[in-house]
Amino acid sequence: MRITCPLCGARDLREFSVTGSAALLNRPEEGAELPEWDDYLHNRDNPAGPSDELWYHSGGCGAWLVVRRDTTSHAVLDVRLASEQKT
Amino acid sequence: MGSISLIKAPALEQAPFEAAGLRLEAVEPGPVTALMPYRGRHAAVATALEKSHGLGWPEPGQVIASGGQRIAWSAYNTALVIGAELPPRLANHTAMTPQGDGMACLRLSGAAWRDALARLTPLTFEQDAERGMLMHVPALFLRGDDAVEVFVMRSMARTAWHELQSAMERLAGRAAIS
Ligand SMILES: [Zn+2]
Repeated sequence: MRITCPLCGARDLREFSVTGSAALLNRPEEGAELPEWDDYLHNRDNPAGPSDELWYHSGGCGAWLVVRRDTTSHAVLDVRLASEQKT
Repeated sequence: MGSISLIKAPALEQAPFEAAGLRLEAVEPGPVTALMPYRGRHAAVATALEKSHGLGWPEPGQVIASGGQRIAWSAYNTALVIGAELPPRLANHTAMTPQGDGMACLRLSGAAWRDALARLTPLTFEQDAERGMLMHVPALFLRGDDAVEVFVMRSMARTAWHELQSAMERLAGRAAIS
């Protein structure tokens, strides 16, 4: 599996570490109700198919990436800088 | 901004090593400062560096050189200014972190430098500045025509040296039997 980092180019999986769902980017607003925080912190979809995940390019540029990956085939469909992602 | 030195001994005291037509040496790159521009200030940093040093802000993978001074892309939103003292007012636009003795620079020269590095990293060096792993050591590679400079954290300088020297010895060994 290779991930094409927007800054470094196509790199081996071993240069990256994965943190989990990109839902972490959708932080609740200040003053949000507890159920919203509960959702944000604990509840995740578990899709069979395209899934947005946060990956860190630790062995390269050090950028956080949003990687869209098909969980049934491991095909990488899209890679963006997390800093440029507005979800 | 003056250079900072907290450590008495250089990171590497090895004498230059030669094998397989290659030469490995520790080099003193001069002052190294990491710049991380504040949001939206890249153009201001580029303009200021252009005026003060004939440099600019590098795209990913790019190195801009002027005289003996360089700015090299080195990570996400980060570039290293090498061999130049920077005006303090640049701090209006960017975080500036002098690297002092924290970074070591190893220079591998000789036409076949890529053959030695092929044993240590999957990088193919298509860009002037690339981040990657030298075995398990995080490194910034600045490629030249017949040489590459490998910047690593000081704490890993001797490991990086050992890896490079071993690769050179194995290249020479392979040449001797074929
Ligand atoms: Zn990268």
